[in-house]
Amino acid sequence: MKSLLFITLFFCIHAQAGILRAPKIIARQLKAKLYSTERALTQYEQSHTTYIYKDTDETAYYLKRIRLLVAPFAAFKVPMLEIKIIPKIEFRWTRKNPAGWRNYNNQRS
Amino acid sequence: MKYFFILALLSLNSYASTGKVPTHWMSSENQENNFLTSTNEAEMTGLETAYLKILNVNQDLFKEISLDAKKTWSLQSIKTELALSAEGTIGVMGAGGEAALELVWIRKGTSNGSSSFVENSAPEAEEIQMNGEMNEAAILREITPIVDMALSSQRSPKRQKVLQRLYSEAIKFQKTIRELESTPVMGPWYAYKYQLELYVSAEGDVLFFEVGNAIRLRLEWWRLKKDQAPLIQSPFAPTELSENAKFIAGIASDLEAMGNLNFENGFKLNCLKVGVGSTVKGNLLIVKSKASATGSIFFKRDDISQESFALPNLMEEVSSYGMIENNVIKQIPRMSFRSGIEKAAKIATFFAKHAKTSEESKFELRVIETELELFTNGGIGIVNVEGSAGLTLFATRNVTI
Repeated sequence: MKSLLFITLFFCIHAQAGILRAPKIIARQLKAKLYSTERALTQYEQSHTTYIYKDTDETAYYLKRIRLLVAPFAAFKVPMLEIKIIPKIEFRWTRKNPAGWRNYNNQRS
Repeated sequence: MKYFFILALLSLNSYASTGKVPTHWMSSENQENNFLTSTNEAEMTGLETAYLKILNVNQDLFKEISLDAKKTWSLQSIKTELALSAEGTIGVMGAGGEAALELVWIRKGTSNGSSSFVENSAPEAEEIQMNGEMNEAAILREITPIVDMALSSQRSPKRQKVLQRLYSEAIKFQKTIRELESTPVMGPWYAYKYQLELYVSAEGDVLFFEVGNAIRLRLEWWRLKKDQAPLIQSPFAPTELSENAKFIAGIASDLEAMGNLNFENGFKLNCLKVGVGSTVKGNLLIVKSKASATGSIFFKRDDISQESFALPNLMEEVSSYGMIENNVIKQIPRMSFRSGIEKAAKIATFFAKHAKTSEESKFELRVIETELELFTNGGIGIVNVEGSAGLTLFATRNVTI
């Protein structure tokens, strides 16, 4: 019984330590993904034509937002087990409307 | 061995505490009372505690992220997903499955009203190409760099396959927006953007829903109008509307019928996302997310008085909505759909009530998305991780999403 208690305590300490480190590990992965994606978007904006899909004289459609869901994870070992924490996090990049255009709404002015 | 698993769960409690939503939140039952209070008060307290802990962990994660507002494309927000187990336990989204609640953290510093990214125009020097219709060359030029960006972390991606899938969906999108354009704005709720969604597996395969460690890419085409656009058109008579225009106008009418609910912390219920597909004849219908279609229409509500519009309810013309699930089309009663939307909105008030943001955080929780399962009897409940969402309700504060 004593040995079971000891193993249990040992397990808890390891698990708790891993859990406390998890947010930092995940944040580091998020920053790396964010950096690589922003670099790609910078290249995109330097060499890209903006397309507007016009459906009437007064209205149009425009690719305005990109959303990318990633799954960073933190894994740590405790006696006889490996625990993974995998939160799902989505980055959203939005660009401004082209000059002379604004978001559609039903306002009268 | 089982002790270790129990202890592991207890330890994980400090990262993402556990709490359960009331059973009737996830079922198709539409109980008139008792949405926000359970007969078991301890259950509601546990849910509140778990939710607050998850909010706090998220704020800690985002402290280190840097921001640059000068770029054309700029990081505007970060979303985290929460899931419900089949038993209703809430937790951070891990393995594949449907999220029940999505929390959008908007960067601080955006002004009251809408984000500056949304309202301002790009510089006039920007090269703009007007296209009457989407064509293959234009679409591919536009989406190829985005797909490359999304796949940058994948091993051996099947790039051409992803591009082809996106292209074929974009062509479907073009047909759908023609229908949207023929739908007059007849009330405060109207369709304002279209979203394409797909998953790409680690092997580069394009998937319709999430499996394992697939990444998810969503592209949004927004409806714009010219700065000097004329007054909106007058409402059409129901007899003048196409079947698809009635479908859109019917949902807008159902949203308006739920009235004004009291949301705390400055939140408002002002957006709904509906997965849409079309029949062989081209009629729009609702799709549940594990069906074949990956497009969604977003409805939005502006802050204008209801008296500004003569909103037809179209109850005689539209008594049910078509819904496709597992390639089978079913008809769901419209009155049940209406009641279900109201129930879902009341549930969303709980999550808005507890949405607090710490002052040190660079991001503020401004959008709460409640993912909903649509049952064939028209009832609506929060989706669990094993279910398939068809609708999403958005509660927002001080932001245009």
